[in-house]
Amino acid sequence: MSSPPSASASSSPPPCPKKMITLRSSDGATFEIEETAALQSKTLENMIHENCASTLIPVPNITGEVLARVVEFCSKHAEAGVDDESLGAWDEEFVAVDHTTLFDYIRAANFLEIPTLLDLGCQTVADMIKGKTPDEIKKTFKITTACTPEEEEEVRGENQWAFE
Amino acid sequence: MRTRRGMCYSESDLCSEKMRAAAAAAAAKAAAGGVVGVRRRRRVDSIPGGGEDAALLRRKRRRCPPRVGGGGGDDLFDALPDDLVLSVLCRVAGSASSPADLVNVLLTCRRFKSLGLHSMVLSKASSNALAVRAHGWCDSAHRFLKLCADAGNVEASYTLGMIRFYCLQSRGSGASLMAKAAIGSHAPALYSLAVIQFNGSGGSKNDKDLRAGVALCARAAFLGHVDAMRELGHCLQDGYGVRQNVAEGRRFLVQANARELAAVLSSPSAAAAAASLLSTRAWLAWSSPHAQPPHQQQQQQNHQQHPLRHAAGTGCPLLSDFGCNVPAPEAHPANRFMAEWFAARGGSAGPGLRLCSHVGCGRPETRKHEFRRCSVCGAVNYCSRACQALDWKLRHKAECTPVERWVDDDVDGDGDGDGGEHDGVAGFNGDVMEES
Repeated sequence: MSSPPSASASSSPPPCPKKMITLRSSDGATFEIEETAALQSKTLENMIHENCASTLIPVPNITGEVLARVVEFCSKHAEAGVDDESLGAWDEEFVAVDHTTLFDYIRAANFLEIPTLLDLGCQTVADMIKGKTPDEIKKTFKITTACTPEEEEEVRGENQWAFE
Repeated sequence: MRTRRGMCYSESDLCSEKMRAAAAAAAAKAAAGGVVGVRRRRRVDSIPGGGEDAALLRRKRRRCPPRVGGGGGDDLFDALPDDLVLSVLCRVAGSASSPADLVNVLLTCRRFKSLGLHSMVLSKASSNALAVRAHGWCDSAHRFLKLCADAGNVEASYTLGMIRFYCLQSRGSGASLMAKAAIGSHAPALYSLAVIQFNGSGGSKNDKDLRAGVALCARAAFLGHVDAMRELGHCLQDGYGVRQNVAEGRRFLVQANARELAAVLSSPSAAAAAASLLSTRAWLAWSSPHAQPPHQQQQQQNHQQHPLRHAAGTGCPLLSDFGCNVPAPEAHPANRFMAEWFAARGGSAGPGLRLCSHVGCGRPETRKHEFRRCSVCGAVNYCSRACQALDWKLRHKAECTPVERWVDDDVDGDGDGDGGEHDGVAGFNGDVMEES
């Protein structure tokens, strides 16, 4: 005689308990994420399939603030029945943050291997770079190390054809 | 190639420029253990803060990843390892609207320059990023295109192939570059090779291979290339290089027009212009394309010889231009290059060599009398039926007038059966040509 493995002690167990995974950020904050949403991240997906996801998963490179937003992103993208247009609008709002946070998202997406977030973040940065002159790019992203004048001359000369 | 890990976690040297500029600030940050400076390949003589502290800092940085967020005003890209910067640059290249977008990145800083020329980034460059202008053509532009083609960029292979074949007259290498793009399922390359086969470009008229042309056209058509669909449709109607099948040919012609219209309507700028020209009746007629048998439609088309601005609304308009003035499709950068190139050289590719009269095409003849001319007026000539059909719709229909039979000079007669003797039927949409 076997009893159902997920028999619960309470009188009316929920028909389909959502499995939650707990993540801990670098500064000790914990976040719960549904398993379906966690599958957005390949890293977490691998851990789930190897059954390592039952205990707390530490995410050392990412702070609590960023991790919270990443969890939000995954949950939104795992939602059923959201049409592309509204999801796109939500995504646009999601990346309307300051540059530092945006780069944090990209690094988090890279670490957790979330292709959708990585694409979104990288494309947003790419759109910020496009259409700007080198000086504007340097200013926007606070790039302080430039090429030497000689190197710049060389590249400019080699690619003069690109400028009308 | 430098490994991602190597670059990210390598010893952080400080650029001497930055040292001079921010020595004090850097020393303070070093003391606090924050991320300072950038990963640079240049050997640096000394680092502020003393030898021991700096060494400790270097060791620390080797073990730990960069601190999240860096310091307030620091280079944001410092926080990203190389593979992520490559991801970003790939997307810049892929969505660039002109070569300047990509080159400006290369000019920004040394890291961008070295990563920007990585083959992964170059292979993703869009056709706009590779849109060299004819007046800007030089060895360095040539080198750049070659670099991108070698990196596996099919657009670069195609563009360089076209330039080499038609403009630089280097037929072999041009054709092989186009073939490389065609193998990568690049529809314009497949179509261009088809045109070369149909015309026997680069060789004599005996080098024509109609069946090969049709095969290449078919592949391009199945990839959705509008000109190839038109060409294939005409070949099927005429039994040219393939067994004649008029119904199938007609289907391809209709499909080509429909696809062209859909492309125009889906592009935001052109959609507004096109939509304003469409009348409701045209749409109603379109909704029942099979309402009338073909020959009736044909008669109705004949009545619509005048330039159509608003649809009369009857018949299956998809055989002509759908009853509205569809704006000319945007020319591929390679075609635009050729058009500019030959315009700068007096509108001709050489003595007695004409250009295709469709301005968006730009192809020149590679031998005399290679192209066919309009059988009604004889004033214009085209490299292919597709160009003729498109030019008819966009421009020539309004100005084509029959002339007295002209005197042929040096007719390039062939065994097609048409010769120059009889007047080919100048169809309502000019879809029958004859060899000149």
